[in-house]
Amino acid sequence: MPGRLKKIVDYVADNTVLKNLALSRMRLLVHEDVTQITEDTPDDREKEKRFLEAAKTILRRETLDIAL
Amino acid sequence: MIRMLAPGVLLTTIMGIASYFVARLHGTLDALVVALLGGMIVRLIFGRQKGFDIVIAYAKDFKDVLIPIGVILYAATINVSKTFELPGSVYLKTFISVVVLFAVALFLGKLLKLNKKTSWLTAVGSSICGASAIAITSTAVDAKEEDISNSLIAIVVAGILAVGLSLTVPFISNLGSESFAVFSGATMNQTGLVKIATSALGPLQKDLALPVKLLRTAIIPFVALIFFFITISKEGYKKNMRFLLVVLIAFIVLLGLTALSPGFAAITKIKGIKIAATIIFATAFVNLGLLVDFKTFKFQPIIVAFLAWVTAAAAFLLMA
Repeated sequence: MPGRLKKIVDYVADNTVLKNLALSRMRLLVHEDVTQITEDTPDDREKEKRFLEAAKTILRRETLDIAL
Repeated sequence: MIRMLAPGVLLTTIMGIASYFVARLHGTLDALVVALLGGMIVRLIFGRQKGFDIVIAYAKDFKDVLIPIGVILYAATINVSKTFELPGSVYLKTFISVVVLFAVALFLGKLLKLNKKTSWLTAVGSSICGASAIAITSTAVDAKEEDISNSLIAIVVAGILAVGLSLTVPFISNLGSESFAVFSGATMNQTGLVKIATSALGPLQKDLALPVKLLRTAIIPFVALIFFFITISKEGYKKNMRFLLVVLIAFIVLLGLTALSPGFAAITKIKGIKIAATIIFATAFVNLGLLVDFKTFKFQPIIVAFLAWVTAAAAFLLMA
């Protein structure tokens, strides 16, 4: 089911004050324009791993409570 | 995060300071217009560069902080007491011009099926005080970047056309000096454009054209408040809205203080405070210019802003 990547992006956006800067940093970390990720973007295990790592780095958290 | 903030902070601050000094090169230049155009040009040239993303992200994230701070400081530098000496007929002509600009822009916006908020911003930008009015109202109505981009482009283009036509079309350029000063102050959207149009009028620029423009500028917080409440009634309460309400009320209080309290007005005339206020508001305007995305460009808002000015100019000529 698609939408897992979008959930990670939304989580980062919702959990930071400077939303646009956080997403811009995420883009640099995952080498992909995360603003283009939609609900219909197909799931991808490799990408998901990179997205989660980037989210942890940006939010400075060891664990993320994303309902994937 | 500091590394992410640095490019945006540095670029907008340097450009804000540069705008202030560029504007000092000639009396007709306005720091806010220079800053706005500077931001728009930089985005146009570098907007597609991958690394420039961070700067645009900064501009988006700090829009709602920088503009209100700039607004408060800007309000302190406006002294509406100069407008108290204007004759009643000038008040009437200015009021009619503002109403015509505003109503025609809204009507044409509806006719050309503009996005509602683009239409609102184009109307306030045309009728009140160009980019300053758009900056403040865009925050009050929680406008999208597309609305801000299109309304800003529209008032810049329509403003330049208005100055060009005012100086060349015989009906307008042949108005007497006093009438032309009032005409410029009452119909042109940016203070900088009023300065350009009336640069040949000598003391009339300072004594008549700019006070008339100031009269329109003083309307900003009241119109922004009206749109603020319309937005709340239609879209509900959003975060940061309480902060904005405080800013708009502070704007009105400062306007009253500078006009009615000579002691407070004297403080705001201190050169250092005026320079700091101009630079900070110019920095906010660079930020605003950086938000202008030419990819979302639409031609209709320019038509709306320009035709609103043509109608107001015609109405003024009938009154003159």
